[in-house]
Amino acid sequence: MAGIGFELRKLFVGRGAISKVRAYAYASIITSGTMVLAVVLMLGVQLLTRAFGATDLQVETLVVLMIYAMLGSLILSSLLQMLLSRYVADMMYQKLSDRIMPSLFGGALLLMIPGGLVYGWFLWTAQGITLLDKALDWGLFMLLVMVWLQMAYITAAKDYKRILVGFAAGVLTVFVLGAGLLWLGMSPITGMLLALFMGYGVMMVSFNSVLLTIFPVGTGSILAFLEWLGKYPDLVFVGFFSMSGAFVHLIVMWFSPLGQVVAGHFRFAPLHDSAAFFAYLVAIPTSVNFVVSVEVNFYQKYKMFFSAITDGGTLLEIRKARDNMKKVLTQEIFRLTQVQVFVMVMFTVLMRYVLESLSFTRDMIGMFQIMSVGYSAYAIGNSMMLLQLYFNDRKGALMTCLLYFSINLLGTLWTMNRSPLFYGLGMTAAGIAMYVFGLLRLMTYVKSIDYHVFCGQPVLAVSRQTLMGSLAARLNRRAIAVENAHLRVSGKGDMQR
Amino acid sequence: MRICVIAEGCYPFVPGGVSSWLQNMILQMPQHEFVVWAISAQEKQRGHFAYELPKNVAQVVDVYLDAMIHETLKQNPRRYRLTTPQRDALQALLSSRDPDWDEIFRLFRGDRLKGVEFLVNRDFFAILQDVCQERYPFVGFTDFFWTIRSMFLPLLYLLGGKPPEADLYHSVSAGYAGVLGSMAAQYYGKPYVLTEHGIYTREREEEILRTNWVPPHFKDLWINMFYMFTRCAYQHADQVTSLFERASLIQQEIGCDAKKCEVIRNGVHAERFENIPLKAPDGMIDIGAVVRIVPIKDIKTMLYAFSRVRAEVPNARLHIMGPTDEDEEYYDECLQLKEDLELDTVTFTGRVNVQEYMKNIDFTLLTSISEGQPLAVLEAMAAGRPAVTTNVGCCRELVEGVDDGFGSAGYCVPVMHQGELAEAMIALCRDEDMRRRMGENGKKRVQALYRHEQMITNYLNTYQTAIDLAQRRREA
Repeated sequence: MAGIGFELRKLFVGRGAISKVRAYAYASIITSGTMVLAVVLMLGVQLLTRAFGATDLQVETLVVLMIYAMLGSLILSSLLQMLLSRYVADMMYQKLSDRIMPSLFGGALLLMIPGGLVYGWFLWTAQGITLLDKALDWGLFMLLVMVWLQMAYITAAKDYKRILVGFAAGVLTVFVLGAGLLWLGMSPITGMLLALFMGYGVMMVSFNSVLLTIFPVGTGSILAFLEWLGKYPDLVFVGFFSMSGAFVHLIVMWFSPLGQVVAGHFRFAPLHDSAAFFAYLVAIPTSVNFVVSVEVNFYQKYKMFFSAITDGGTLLEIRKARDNMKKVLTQEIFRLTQVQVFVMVMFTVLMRYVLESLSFTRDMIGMFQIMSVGYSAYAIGNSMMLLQLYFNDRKGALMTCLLYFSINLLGTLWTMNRSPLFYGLGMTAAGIAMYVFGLLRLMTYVKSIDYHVFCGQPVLAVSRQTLMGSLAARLNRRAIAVENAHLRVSGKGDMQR
Repeated sequence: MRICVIAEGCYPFVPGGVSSWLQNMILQMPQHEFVVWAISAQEKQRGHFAYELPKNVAQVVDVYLDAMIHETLKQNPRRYRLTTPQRDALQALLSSRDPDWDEIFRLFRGDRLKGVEFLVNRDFFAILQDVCQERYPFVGFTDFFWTIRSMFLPLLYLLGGKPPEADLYHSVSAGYAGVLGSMAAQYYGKPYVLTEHGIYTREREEEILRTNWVPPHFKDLWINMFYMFTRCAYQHADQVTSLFERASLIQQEIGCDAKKCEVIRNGVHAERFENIPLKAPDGMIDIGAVVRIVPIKDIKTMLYAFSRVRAEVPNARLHIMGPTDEDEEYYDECLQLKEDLELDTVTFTGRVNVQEYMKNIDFTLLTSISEGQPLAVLEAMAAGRPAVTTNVGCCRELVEGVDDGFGSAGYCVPVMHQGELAEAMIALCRDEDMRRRMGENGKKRVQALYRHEQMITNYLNTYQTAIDLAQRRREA
């Protein structure tokens, strides 16, 4: 009898997988954790070298070399961090853990080759720095790229504790080894760079051993993750703009009247930089709060919402879970803001005395206070952006951090040649804009979250064929073929086939 | 005249009853030009015609439902707002409650992606939630969502295609073909004829009830959708035909206006059979069954019943004529059963020339569980052989007639009833006179009511009626 009836029904996907992605919390750790670490190291290194009688020029050179290695590596690795985190989360969800470690090395390689060349050229052109110091700084840069990437992997596995242990071991190594080397009479720059290199080396080794206890060594092409570049190209930009947005005003200010040349292309603006670094510390409570409270409380409801969807909840149950989630989300954001505002006020008032004792000028304290407001807003705005990613609103996240980046860039450019009273206003305006926009976007998106979850699923199981995707697939096939080459040589492969 | 035939899952790719009928009909109407609009499930069927296309087939427009898998949605599906009538129509569509079809045809016409985009549209989601809340509040929403999506995707996809132009649209089944026929006829303002050769909706319903991949609480969703499709075709068709009275009544029960309904019986080329001489007496009684060896023909009941006949009539032989390769496992089971019952006078002949073989047959047998208007019975009757059949499809109408004065042409017994089957066969085996008489009755009935030329004329008349009706509709 005529009629297709239903045999064809089998063509269709029954239901799409709704993956819950929780990897993004790492970003908050990385941006704030590493910054705190950097500030601590920078201050410590300055104190330590001065204690061993280093000259101002030596300290300045050392600080500049540290800042460039750190900012450079952070911005470079930010290109892939989000993407790799997403890849790791997806691979873990699909129980393909052997694909994870290769992507780390692939990602590192992909960043290190062009990054190492550019940074090497940059160092090469700097006069007044010894070749050994250049080599050490270059090594530090490369090492840091690796460390930042590793952190994305460990945090994707939600192992914050071991990151902190690694941090502590690294910092301890820097100070103990640095003090030892300087005591032995090594030049302060060389000694501290070596200590930093060793300290971050300890971190890298400890992270690596942690990673190997979590993930297997793995198989397949190290560039297989490029397929995700085809799938989520926006994550590259989200990573880049959210990271470089936090620093772009520093770089602009290096070219302001406050900026000065240290060597070659190396510039800095010590007054502004120090004020900014101290101001950045104001973001710590929000970073911690986000990881230990917002993320934890909210994630519970978030999980319940998604399991209502995946585990056959009725419409009523799904709506209830959604409303619960929205309620907790609003509560947590409110509390996050409350705590941050409170800390900000206390911090700007009280730190003034600390900074005065560190011989900060009035202009610097003014900048510090303005930027404390800016970084407070940024901290919450950044959390909004991360929450957008939890809901897979990548477009919203991109708009949020792009907004921050551009206002910060343009605002700082506008203020850089004006009175010092304006310094910091650009990034503060950017932070507030990010906060307001991020919050509004998050709330409107969450309001119709069920629509986004359901209708964001493709109608058909279409795997979009992309250039990156097919390149990655080809590389992966080749890699597996190479790995199996010994089988072919010994003839086992033929038997298998 | 250019006639567009809409065939779903049959002609020209899959051989079978409807396909052969259609091939034959196109051949018999050389004065008309045909466009075949074929809907198939799988693209791999492309180009694999089961029939040699007649010369008057101008074009085959083939659509494959799995082709939409290759259609990629643009990264950002277009957003469009629906008007209130559109929204109402879609809400009715998604809840399978007879929508304003014209509104729906206009909305999706000629835009393949629009239908797919509708399934990611905010309005769609809102409508879906309303429907779910109102009618399925205790069902898992995610399953509901995906079920609705995969139910309506093929329809929306098909509606987006551009219909081939023709002077008349004729779908040979309801279902998707019926909706497309309605759409095309409405699009060009042309007449539309639906000929049903079984009852599509009932068949789908049985299929859905049997299947186990649709969860029980969603079966009514699917069934209601197919009923809605059928009502759409009934509503838009100018003429609706069926093969026999009972089928026509079912159509009216489902919602077809009785004025559109018409019964057109199948026809056979009686002249090819009526001159086959009756078998000369040779001391044996030969019973013939022209069937494919598949479960729906219930060969096992046939064997059991025949074993009872053998016990009473030792000189009876059974010839089962038909391909054995369609379901080999079932065939093996039948062979085993034949052995267990020690039926050494049963022969599986395989595919044979029925006209040739009929010479050696005294009467015929059909034990099917489901049939429409079986050709095998018509041909046997044309050859003057009585028939024992189960009471399926219109077999009773064929065998006993509906007050046509020709008398009985055999026996019609309940489905799967070995006892009555055996009794009927024994009666025929023992009474040569009755065989001759019933054979004559059948021959006369076929010659009078089931002639091929008659069938063709009837369909041509139906076309003409539809054209007149459409003409009047246009003028009104």
